[in-house]
Amino acid sequence: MKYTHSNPDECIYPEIRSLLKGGGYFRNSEDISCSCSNRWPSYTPEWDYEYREYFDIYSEGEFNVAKFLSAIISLDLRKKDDEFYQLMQLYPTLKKELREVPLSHRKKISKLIESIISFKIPPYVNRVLVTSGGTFLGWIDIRPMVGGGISEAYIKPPPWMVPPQYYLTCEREVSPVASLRPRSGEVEKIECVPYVQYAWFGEIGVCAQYAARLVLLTLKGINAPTVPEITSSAVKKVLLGGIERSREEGLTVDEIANILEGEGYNIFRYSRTHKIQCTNCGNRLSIPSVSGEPTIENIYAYVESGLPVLLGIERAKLLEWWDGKGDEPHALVAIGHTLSENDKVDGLIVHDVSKYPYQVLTDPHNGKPLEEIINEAVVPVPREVTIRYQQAKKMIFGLLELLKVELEEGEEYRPMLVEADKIKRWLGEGVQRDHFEDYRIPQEVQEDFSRAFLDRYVWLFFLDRYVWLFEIKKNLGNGRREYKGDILYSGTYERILGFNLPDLNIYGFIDGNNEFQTKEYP
Amino acid sequence: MAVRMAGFSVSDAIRESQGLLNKSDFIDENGKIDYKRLVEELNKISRKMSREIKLLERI
Repeated sequence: MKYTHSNPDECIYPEIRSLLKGGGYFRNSEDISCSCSNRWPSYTPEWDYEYREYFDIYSEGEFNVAKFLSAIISLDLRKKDDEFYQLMQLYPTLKKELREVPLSHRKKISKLIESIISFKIPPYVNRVLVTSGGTFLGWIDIRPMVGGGISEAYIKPPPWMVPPQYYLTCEREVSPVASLRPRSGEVEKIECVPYVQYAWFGEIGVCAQYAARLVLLTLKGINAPTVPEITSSAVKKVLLGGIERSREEGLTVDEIANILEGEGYNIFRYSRTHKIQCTNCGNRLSIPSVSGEPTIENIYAYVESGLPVLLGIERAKLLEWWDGKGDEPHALVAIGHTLSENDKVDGLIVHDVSKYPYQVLTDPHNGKPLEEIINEAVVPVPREVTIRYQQAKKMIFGLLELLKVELEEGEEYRPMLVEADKIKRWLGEGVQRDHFEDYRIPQEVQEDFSRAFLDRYVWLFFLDRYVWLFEIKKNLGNGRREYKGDILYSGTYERILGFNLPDLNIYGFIDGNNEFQTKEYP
Repeated sequence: MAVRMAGFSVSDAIRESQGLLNKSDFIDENGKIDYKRLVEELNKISRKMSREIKLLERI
């Protein structure tokens, strides 16, 4: 069934209305017409696991809690031949309390419980396809019960969220999981960053494990674990206090990091303070961060590389879109960034699992510098990556300090973690980088870089699969820039892999014998 | 071609990394920089930095 409405307030799905409004989809008045069509039933692993974890027990299975409860409440305590009578002798307090309520009342309560049992929650989600302003936005999965809320959303960003101001660097092409043998054209594909929204029936905190699921969904696609799986694995492996842990406490940053590590990623943590516990007195002490702070530049370096970053916020109330309830710590996921008119990173684009997708965390935010709002950043990187951004940066600029005779004003760098193969194409094969006006690598330099990478690939077994690339450039204005060079640092080992600095007439690389060589520009 | 792109100041980053190495240690008698030694020294500093981060993270 397809519903079309010229005003979002007419939408029959209040959850979708709220999500799109909060996500800023109707910011421009001409975009407000939208239509929804329902595809029922649809399968998703997330709802499948949530259903089995929280709802299945009320309708299926040999041991049915609700049926048992109903039988106990309606028990006639005078009938000694009742099958539950002997059982009640073991629970004198319960027996006394039941006796205080008249049997007729208890029978009514029992009937009420039975009618609740007959109310079945289906194991499928409502999949709603959404079109707005004539553009297919994507699909939103709604949990199939009253107040169930949105489970997952695969929707394009709002139409105004486009370059040159907004960059969604973690965007992926996704398609629904239900198709067994999809053929081209039969399955909708959508460019978006997957979004999940928390459920009130979850266990142990809410935002942290949903944010962890969101990060993994972006990195692993349909192979990402569901929230019940993440929670259950956390209870067994990393959660302090295990099953006794209070629901309100939420997952700590250490626990989130351990969960992501368990999924096959190396984890870099950036924190404003580092807390340690004294083994003698048990007091927690704050010491300055040793592994780097969650500055915008540190977060940007990973987000620009296409890696979502989980952000820990000390006070949720500081977020502009927060509706005023609660002021507890909160988790967000950074999926992109914004640029000011002079090309400075002046904000992050985040998904908020408790509220809305595609929110802009501007700097300053609510009158506070962003770096005061973000307390922690957890970055999952491929297992091979062991060198943090700030370590590569320190070494690279230590080198530049010695090489540069005099600095040209206005020179800038852009850091990014890239696959070595990309570097090989850019430097070894001279493949054009469209963002530079005058990019040209001389043939001799290309041959040296090509041989360096080929030797390393063949003899050293992909030792440096990922590389920290620092592109040096000079802004010429109006979106034009001049290529000033590149410096490459290994993502795995502590070593400079090479550099190309045409202005200084020099380039360097590690050759097949693992020796660093420098040559003068041809 | 008119695509915008983020940029961080090279001079600021160089200022932050100042003092990591002493330039005169890597210049030979002909006034030329010994790049091989320079890169080796930086790699050595980086390995030490990694060890320190790992040790402190274990606390």
